[in-house]
Amino acid sequence: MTIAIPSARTRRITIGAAVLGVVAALVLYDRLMRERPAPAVESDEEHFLHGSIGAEALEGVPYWIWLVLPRIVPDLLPGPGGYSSLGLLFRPGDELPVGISKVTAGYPRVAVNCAFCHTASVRTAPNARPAIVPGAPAHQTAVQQYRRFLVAAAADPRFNAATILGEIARNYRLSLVDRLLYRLWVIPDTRARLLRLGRQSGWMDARPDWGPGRADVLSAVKFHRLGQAPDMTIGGADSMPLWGTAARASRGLFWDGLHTSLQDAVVTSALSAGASRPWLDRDLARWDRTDAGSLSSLRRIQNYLTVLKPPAYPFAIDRALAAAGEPVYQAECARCHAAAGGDVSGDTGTDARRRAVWTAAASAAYDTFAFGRVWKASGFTAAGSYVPVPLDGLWLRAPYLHNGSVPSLADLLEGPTARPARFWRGYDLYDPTRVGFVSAGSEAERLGTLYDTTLPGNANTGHTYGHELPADSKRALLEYLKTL
Amino acid sequence: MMRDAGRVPRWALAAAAAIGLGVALWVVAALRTDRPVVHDDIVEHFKYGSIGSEPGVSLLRPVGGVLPPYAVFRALPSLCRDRLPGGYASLGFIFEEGRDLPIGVSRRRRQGIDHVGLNCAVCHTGTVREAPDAPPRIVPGMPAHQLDLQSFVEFVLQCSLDNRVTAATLRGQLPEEGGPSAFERLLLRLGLVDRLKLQALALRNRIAPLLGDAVPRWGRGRVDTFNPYKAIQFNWALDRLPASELLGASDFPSLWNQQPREGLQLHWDGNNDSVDERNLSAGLGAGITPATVDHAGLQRVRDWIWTLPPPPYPFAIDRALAARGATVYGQACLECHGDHRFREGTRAGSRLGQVVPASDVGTDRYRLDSYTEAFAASQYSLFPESPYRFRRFRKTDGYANHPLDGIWARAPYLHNGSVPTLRDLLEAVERRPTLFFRGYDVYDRERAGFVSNVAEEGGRRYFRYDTDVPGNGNGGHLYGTTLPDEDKRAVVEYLKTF
Repeated sequence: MTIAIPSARTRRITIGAAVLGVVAALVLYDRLMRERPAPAVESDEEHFLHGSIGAEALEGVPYWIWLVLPRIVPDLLPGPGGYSSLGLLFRPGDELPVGISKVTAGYPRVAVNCAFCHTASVRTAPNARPAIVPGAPAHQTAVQQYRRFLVAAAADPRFNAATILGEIARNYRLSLVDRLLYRLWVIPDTRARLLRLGRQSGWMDARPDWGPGRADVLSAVKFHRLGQAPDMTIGGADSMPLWGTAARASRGLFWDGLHTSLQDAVVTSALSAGASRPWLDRDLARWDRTDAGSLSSLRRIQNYLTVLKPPAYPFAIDRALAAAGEPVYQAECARCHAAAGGDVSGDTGTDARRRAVWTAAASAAYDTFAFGRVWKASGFTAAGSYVPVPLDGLWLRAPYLHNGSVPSLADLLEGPTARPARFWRGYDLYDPTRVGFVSAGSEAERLGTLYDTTLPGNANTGHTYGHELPADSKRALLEYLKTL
Repeated sequence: MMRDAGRVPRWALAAAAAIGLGVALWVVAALRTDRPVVHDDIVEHFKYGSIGSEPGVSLLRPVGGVLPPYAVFRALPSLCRDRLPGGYASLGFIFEEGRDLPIGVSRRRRQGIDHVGLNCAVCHTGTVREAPDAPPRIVPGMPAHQLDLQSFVEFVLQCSLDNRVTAATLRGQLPEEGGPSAFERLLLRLGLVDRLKLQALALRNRIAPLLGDAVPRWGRGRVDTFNPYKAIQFNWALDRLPASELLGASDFPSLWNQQPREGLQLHWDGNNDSVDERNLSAGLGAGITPATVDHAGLQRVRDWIWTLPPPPYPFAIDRALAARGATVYGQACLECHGDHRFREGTRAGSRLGQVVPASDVGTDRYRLDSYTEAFAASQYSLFPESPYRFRRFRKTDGYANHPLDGIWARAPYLHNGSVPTLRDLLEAVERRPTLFFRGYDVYDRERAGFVSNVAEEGGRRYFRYDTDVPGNGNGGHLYGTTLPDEDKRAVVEYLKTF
């Protein structure tokens, strides 16, 4: 047998093809995968609002597609106004809404971060500019509807390369190579990913809608990330405020006190928002780095939470009345809600669904999922009961109770039967009389979403404290609560 | 034998290939053209130059623009004569001697098609006459108080969709010489008209809730700036907005003397403080898109209006009376509106260019409510990934105090043009006219504004303005209304010097 010696011509062709192949591979790598470092952000607040928490790989959407989707399928949004109609907030002049990060990995991609569920809009008069308060519960943001919008858009026949590229062309000139890659890969791939996200969200569709300001964070981890078998639990609950988180960590974070370490709570929350495991590995490896270029993203967020202060009440407070309310507070509320920590025993009779979500099986599944990872939480405490929260910044924690079933503090001080059975959530006009957001009337109905307390998980029962107080004491207590 | 008989000679193959290549090159060259008609003179550029509002980017999926190609645009009035008996001029378009296009319409070849587009001058060039028999004076930069933009858009859309407009009827309208290129004639045969009708349908569907009698007519000299913008740029379903949000009609402003305006709250509600961003935003209304804008063409206009002086009052001024008026004005108006020196760039008045809450100024609030927080949020994504991205828009809660340079030529007054003359503005609300006509360009020197009781002249009908119609309210801005008559007369005289 002789070895065939390739002719010079064949060799040239082979070398040519190899060079071409390498060039093509480099171009594909550059246009589809190569990660560009995120632009350095000076302040931790800016990072909190727009920094990445690593959700781009699993749940990210290419920026250009994300930008034009509301213009292509506007009828899939709850109303005119683009992403604003879902309650997403824009700080004046910002290109992206609060809670959306943009990272380039091949092509620019956007994904949600912590601020998505933890930044509030509040207005003191119907025509006043809204104040945007980072760290406050995002009572106006339709977290579930945002996700459903993306999935529904992907399932729509208008989600096709010609339509999407046509709309992008109205705004930006993608290069010929990019247009080709979008047509052949990015658009079909995004569609497939979003449809898969939709299929993985079946657990969500079997439960009552979350409504604005609420999310089922633990079920997202349990069913979506850990692949637990469906069960009968329902975990939709209000987003929590992030100020004072570090101080209360030892009492247990999340409504049911699942974590006692702030870092664990940050990681679990990032997981529920879609952070990928490789990203967490990389980010947590940098946890203690201090050089500006390589700070850990989650560490910066944790640092920010540590210094975040509750916002002051934006209306006048009757100081004399508030002073009269303080002893009432001490007598009626402080036992459980004192800032220093209170009595955590007992069942207050509020809706029991949320505290039953996290199970021993979920903990076990998590241990496997996170096995050997630096970010593995030190543990989940499936306490099965609610933790009485400190009341700092209480005015901006409306609606009240863990499931947001009571629109105002005035309503909460009424007995359960006197609390509204149906009201509208998501409108950002504040009602200083009842201390909570305006939850009825034409604008609340137009901009908000109906909350029905008869749905499973939505009960407005329990926490029957203070409702038998005389009217003056209630008034005084209400005034005092504004000062917290 | 058979094969030999069927074999095509090599020379023929080569010739066919050469012809094929030639045709391909020709098509590619035609498709890649993007060439505006250039006007070296800056005033000509302002009137007829392109800012990129012609459709572009792609032949099959054109982007931007509201007008059909040049040849079609010119043919429409004769093809749909019943819809517009007086031609474009009857809508307030200004035709200058020897011009085939009116002021405000530019021409540019894109993708091989001779397109037309709107530019700044269409809404910002006005006419003034001394008397009914005097020739109109054309004032660039002046509000186009005579222009009925809404009817114009309606006509172009309706006629484009009219069954009488076909490739065959259009061919009949083309001039013998200087007509469309061979490439365009080819496109005309290949479905250019269908493309045009699809574009017209798409545009009509988006802005339908603003057409016909769906909302009160804008009338001559007015435009609803932001509602078409919501539909065209962002595809908002206008019919899902509160009906009260769709009543945004307001006057065209003047364009002169922009330099001292930088940093003031611009637009009627003061929603932006950057002249450049405001310009670019206004360009979107003319049909540019972030992808088709001609930044250089726009920049030329911008540089010119930066220092364009306001037109001096063209009639005699009683200087002694004006001097007396200056004193009264100093007490009643100056703090908010500055004074006559703004034309030289002097910003007097501590509240000049600031927003006064709507509840204080008391003027009709529909225009204010047509601009919303959610809309501003959407604007921030315009001109993405470029130094031009919008950052300065803000929702406000009132109307801005504008400088009054060239105020004599900015009638009718208030943001919605609900008060015909300066003198009427100084009267108590119940003494201001409740029914008048807009768009007539003979000047009323006594009251400082246009003559507003002429319903029709030479077949041209003016806009009947009824202040009872929602959005047309003439209330508010009560400053100076309690002055003695003599002082009012003096203030009006002083305002003529601005």
